[in-house]
Amino acid sequence: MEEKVYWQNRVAFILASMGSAIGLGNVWRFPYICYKYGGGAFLFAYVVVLMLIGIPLLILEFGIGYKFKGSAPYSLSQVRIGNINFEFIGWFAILVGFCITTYYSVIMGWSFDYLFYTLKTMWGDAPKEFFYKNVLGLTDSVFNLGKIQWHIVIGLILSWVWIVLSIWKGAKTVGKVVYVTVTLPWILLIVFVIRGLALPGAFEGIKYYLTPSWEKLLSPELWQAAISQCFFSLTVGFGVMIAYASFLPPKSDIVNNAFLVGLADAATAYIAGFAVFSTLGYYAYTMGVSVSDVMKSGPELAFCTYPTIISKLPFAPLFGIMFFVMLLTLAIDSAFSLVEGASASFIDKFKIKRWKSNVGISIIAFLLGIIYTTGAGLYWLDIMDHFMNNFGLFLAGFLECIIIGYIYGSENMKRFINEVSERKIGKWWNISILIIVPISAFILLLVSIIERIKSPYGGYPRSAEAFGWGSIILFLILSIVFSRITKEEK
Amino acid sequence: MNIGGWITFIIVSGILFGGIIHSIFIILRKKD
Repeated sequence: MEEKVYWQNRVAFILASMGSAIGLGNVWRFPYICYKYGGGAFLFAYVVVLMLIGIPLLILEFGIGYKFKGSAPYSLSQVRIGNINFEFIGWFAILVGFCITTYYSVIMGWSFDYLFYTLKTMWGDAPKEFFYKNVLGLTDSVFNLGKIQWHIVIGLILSWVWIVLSIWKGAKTVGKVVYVTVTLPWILLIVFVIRGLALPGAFEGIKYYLTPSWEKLLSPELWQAAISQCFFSLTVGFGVMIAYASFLPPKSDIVNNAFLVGLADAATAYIAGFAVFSTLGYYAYTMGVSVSDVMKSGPELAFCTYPTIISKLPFAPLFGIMFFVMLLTLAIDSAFSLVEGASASFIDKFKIKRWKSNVGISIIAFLLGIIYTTGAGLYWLDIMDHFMNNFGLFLAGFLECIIIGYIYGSENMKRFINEVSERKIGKWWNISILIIVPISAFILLLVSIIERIKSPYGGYPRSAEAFGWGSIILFLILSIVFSRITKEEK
Repeated sequence: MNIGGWITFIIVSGILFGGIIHSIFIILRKKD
């Protein structure tokens, strides 16, 4: 049986949790959402949501992992009503996280490729065409898979080798790797903020980012976007934070660590907004258009708009390398945290060797990831990302709160957390876990379901969308199967 | 940048970075 490995120190745990939470979404999603939903008004709403939902949920997940000393399935199997336990919910969260790594690693693969392309700014004057045609080989429809893009497969292999090595000895290696993968993107982000702010037109961009449209605070869409972003960003609902907290040695703190991780995640997204909007301001200035005309999010921001801007800067290859290294280091610790969450679960349940679990999961994820390296890969990535984030995440978050809040008892968990924490939580936490978080997650889940019933996501055919629904249903079935395979006691 | 932008900048930066510094301060105080 595997020996239990603990974090070497508190900093390692905090950095690993921060690394897991801080990912690509902080840079390519948050600033855009902020701009779309009222600029400064959204920032205020986000801070409120972080305090009422994000941090309480983070405290809950840290508390679960630390209390039961195991992965999400093991920990939730300890909560029982009679003979019924809730292990399957842990497996469901893990499977959703696993599915996300299959395409997250592909995005890392693109970034690896771009490290090479940026040396000679190979996208030339047409970065958009270069990305969609030369890099992705994008086909005209979701079922026209086209060819496997072997350069992406090479990037994907590099990503998986890096992921496997990072989690080779669990918390022991993760605790060392995160010193680089968490601090380096921060340093690079600050370089981009300083460089961006020194460019002409930068403050016009910042104006778009920070100017509040106060009237939007009354819009339900703004609050829905803030809650969704908070869920996405903190990596809660994937079982990762539960697994990470299970590696905490005795006499560790919960509450203050959760505050630190939650605030650092939000601060990174906030700072990233300055880097993105200052450069977009410069881009709009050079093109003689408005900032809103050049505003993009997601892969198009990172792989089309940013390369265009990089080409305009002196020492373009240097800034290109820095940018794609930043993307890679932002992504890697989120990716390996999801694999570690899954690996810890298989080790707990099936008592297998760590290396077997790591390698097995990685090979399966790599093979499944091949679909995203085809000409229709971007379409499938988009569909799966939508379903995992909008259904898997909210469902897992909702169920976690119900089980711990109502079945285990929020008061019991609060008492335990307060016994070990240097900062105490009060009644506000119970209210959050019992009412605010489950209601928010349930409403978001319901809204997502209604939206999908009304119309297919992104205009894709219903037959393609069925794979998204099918995956969620398959994960629910697999979760129940895994939870029933053996009943070994730890 | 307009006044609304500056207000947002000061308050949001204050809450986020003030919160982080406060949390680090609690850890350091415990170590003493």
